[in-house]
Amino acid sequence: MPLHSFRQRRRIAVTLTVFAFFAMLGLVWIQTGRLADVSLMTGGTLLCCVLLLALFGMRRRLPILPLGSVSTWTQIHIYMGFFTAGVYWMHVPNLIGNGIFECSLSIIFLLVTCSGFYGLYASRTLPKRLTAVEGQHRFDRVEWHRGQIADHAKKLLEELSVHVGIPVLGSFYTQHLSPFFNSRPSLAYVLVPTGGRRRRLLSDLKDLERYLESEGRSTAGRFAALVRRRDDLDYQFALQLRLRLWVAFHSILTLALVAGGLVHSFMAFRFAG
Amino acid sequence: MRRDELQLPPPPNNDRPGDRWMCGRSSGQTPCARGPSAQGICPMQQACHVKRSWYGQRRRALLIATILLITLLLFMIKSRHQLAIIKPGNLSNPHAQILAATVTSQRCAACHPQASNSDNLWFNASSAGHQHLTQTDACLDCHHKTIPRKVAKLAHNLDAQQLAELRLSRQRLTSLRSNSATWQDLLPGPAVDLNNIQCATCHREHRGANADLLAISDTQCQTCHSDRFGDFATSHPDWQQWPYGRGGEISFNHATHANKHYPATRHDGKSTPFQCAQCHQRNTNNDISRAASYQVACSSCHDEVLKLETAEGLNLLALPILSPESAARVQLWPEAATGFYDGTVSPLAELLLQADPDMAKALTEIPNRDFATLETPAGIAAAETVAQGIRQLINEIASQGQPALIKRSQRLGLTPESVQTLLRALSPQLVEETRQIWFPQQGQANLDPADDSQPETKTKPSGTNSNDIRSLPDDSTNPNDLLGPDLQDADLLGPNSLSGDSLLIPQRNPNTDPLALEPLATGSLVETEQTTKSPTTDAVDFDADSMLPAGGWFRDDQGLAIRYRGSDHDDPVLKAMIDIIRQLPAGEPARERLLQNRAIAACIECHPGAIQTHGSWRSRPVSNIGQFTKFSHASHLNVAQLSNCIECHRVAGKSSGKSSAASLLQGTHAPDSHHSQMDFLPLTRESCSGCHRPGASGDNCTTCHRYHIDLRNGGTISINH
Repeated sequence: MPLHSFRQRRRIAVTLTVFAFFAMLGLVWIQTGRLADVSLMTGGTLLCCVLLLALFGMRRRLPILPLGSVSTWTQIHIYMGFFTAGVYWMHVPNLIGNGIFECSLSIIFLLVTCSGFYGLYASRTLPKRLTAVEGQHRFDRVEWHRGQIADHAKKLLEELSVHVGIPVLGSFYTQHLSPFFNSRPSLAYVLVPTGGRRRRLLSDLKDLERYLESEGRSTAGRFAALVRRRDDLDYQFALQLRLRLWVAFHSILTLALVAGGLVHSFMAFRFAG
Repeated sequence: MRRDELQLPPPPNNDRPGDRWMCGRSSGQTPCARGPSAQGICPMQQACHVKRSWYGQRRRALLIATILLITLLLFMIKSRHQLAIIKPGNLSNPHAQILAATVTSQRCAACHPQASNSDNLWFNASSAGHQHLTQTDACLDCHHKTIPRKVAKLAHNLDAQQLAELRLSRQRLTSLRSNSATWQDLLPGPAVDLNNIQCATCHREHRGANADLLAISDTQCQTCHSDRFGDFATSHPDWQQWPYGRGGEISFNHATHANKHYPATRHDGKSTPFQCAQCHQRNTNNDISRAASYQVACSSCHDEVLKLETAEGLNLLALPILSPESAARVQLWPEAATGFYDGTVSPLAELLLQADPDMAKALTEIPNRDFATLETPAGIAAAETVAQGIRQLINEIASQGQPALIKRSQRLGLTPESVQTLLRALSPQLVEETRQIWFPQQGQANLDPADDSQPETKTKPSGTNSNDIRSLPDDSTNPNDLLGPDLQDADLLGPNSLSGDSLLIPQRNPNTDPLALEPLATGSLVETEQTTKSPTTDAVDFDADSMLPAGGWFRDDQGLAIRYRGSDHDDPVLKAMIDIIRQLPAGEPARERLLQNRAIAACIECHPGAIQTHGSWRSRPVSNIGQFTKFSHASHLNVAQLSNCIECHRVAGKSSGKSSAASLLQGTHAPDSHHSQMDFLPLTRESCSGCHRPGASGDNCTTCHRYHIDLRNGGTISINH
């Protein structure tokens, strides 16, 4: 019953997170009433949470150590991220600090938090979209695959022996297919991959069939297959790039957050009281 | 054609995703099997331009980001723009203005002593140069005028003894149990040491320019308290007598004035209305004055009586009546002061005599300092000693003047200022003249007491005061004659205060003197003529009432006393006398007798504070500084409904506009023994909670209470304040 266990796990995790948040909120309220220095308490908690969240990246790099499954770590990372965002709200008097350093630290934290929330969304949606298209291409081999598709398209045109079809398909290849196969997808496509480009090319190829005989139609069909494969490849590339950029963005900002948080903590302890 | 029918070559299997570099061959070519090295070098003879893998690109970005971050942090720490870079929050406006105007560098160090240390001491605080300085010390560099350094870190700025007294006396509301146990009682105690509370514990800076540094929650206020309550309207304990019973310089009973005296005082057939504003007017601060002046508020009714009381004045000294034997032993004792033992040592003379230990001892032998009670030989001997002391005192004043008295008073520990004011109008010439009149033989004997001789002539008997039967002649000459041979010569009534009585004026006329018809009389009383100078015969009766309307020292030859007649209100000598009384220890007999003096008692009746605090004569505004509870009429009087005083202050026993005093007293605040002494009905919590509630005027603790208690100006922590 994996579905049931997932729901149960999520219910438990959400309950624990909500409980921890309200427990922390109550503790802050009590400590504030006791005239304790709550900023040090929430700040210390915040720093510990950030360090623990950052350890998740370290855990992924140490797969051989018996530190629990990555799945467990991921769950802890997600829900602790929510809890950390709540502690941050308790810690900061303003959402954005006043000084340049504190302001930067606030912005970095907010960016890391937002990227984390986006990552949660992306990790729930992008894998489904990736598996929805055929083929599994490693990101670093995408360019090689593009080259293979472009070369194959060029060979198809060269192998065409029907004189009637050569000018039609040749012209279409030169004007539309060659730029498509031999160039990287546009930035707009990478940001928002859509099927418009694919549908337009396939439609144009379909329109050429009335000018072609059977061999030419067969070649046009092969071109259409290459267009579909290339578009699927670009789609995978765009989504993989999005995931990879998110991870890079999240991890680099986390590094900055940890460094800035440590400096901030030292200064807070130094100037406290 | 279906896309899966299209056969494309499989990707090369020499993939190394964990490497930072990958083969740079064109996309259509198959990567070489060996690939680039870990350093990104192609091993082929015709080397390709190797490319970074995604992993390699990410590592490079991470490295650049790390370098950039370290650079930024170093710049931040070392930059001369550090103040703008590291700023946990804007300072509040008052502090920001002060720092901007006075501090050009090291602004952080103005409040944070640690900031003046070098950066390499960040991790080694124990070796810092200012390790003993705290941020609170920096606060007090500016705020020591309002909060003494010595008690600044103590809870409520009160030392342990003062707090313990408050706790034990259970006078403060916070030490009283609230109406019921609340959940707030379950909260943990304070997180701070109550003897070392830092300023920043409550006053949090860097919260923005408009942040309220005084903002503190009710929970924070109560964290140190043994009992905690919720909102004001339902949980706050009832106060018992606040704001009444705080004492004051002037004693005034509102209840008797409102219910008795004012209604009884009629003008044009109508009772005088008792109006609060007659005495309590708005001052320049738009607050209410504590009282009006005597001339405005009191003199119209109290002036006549006060003049009578103060006219009684006080005696500097008076000659007691000694028996002839004692007078003989004392030598040169005025015959006018010879007879039956009588008279008392005036309290002021007693004080001055106590400067001499022998005199002090002798005084204790005389019960109540009253010569009429002398019975034992020891008492008679003491009386003679005291009589000699009084004469010596007169001699000293006559010969040395005021310094003699000041010297004596200093031996008693009295402040010279009060004594000087007391004696300011006492002329040594008056005393010298008194000596010459009372002790004429002494002057002839060159002031030598050893050469004093009995007066050779008889003097007209005289008592020591106006109420006494005058001293009688020595009856020892004829033991069988109870009244003595000279009784017929004695003026039994004496002149003194009755001298103006028409019944007594013609006493020297045997035809009209009732006593002249006395059967015991063998002749006319007026037959006796003074052959020597005598206080009662030569001196013209001095009518102090008519001669000293403004008050002053005078000689009372009838009472053989040097007296002071007070004027009316604000008499400086009587005030000085009261200040001297204040300095005397409780239980001192002279003090108790002075307090019974009519003139003194009249002063103290309205100025009870003067006997406890120096110069506590005039009504002063109630200072809230040393009190836990703060209140300002100014803000409340802006509310039209509250502009009527009786809205809050209802005189006991007088019907108010809404409910009678009796009904109020039968309500939630039943009158107890304490309230019955109050001239106002208790101010109820409900009177305040109508406005002071959440969403209206607020019911935070700090609305009515202050934390910092300043007792430097001699204030004391009074009950319920």
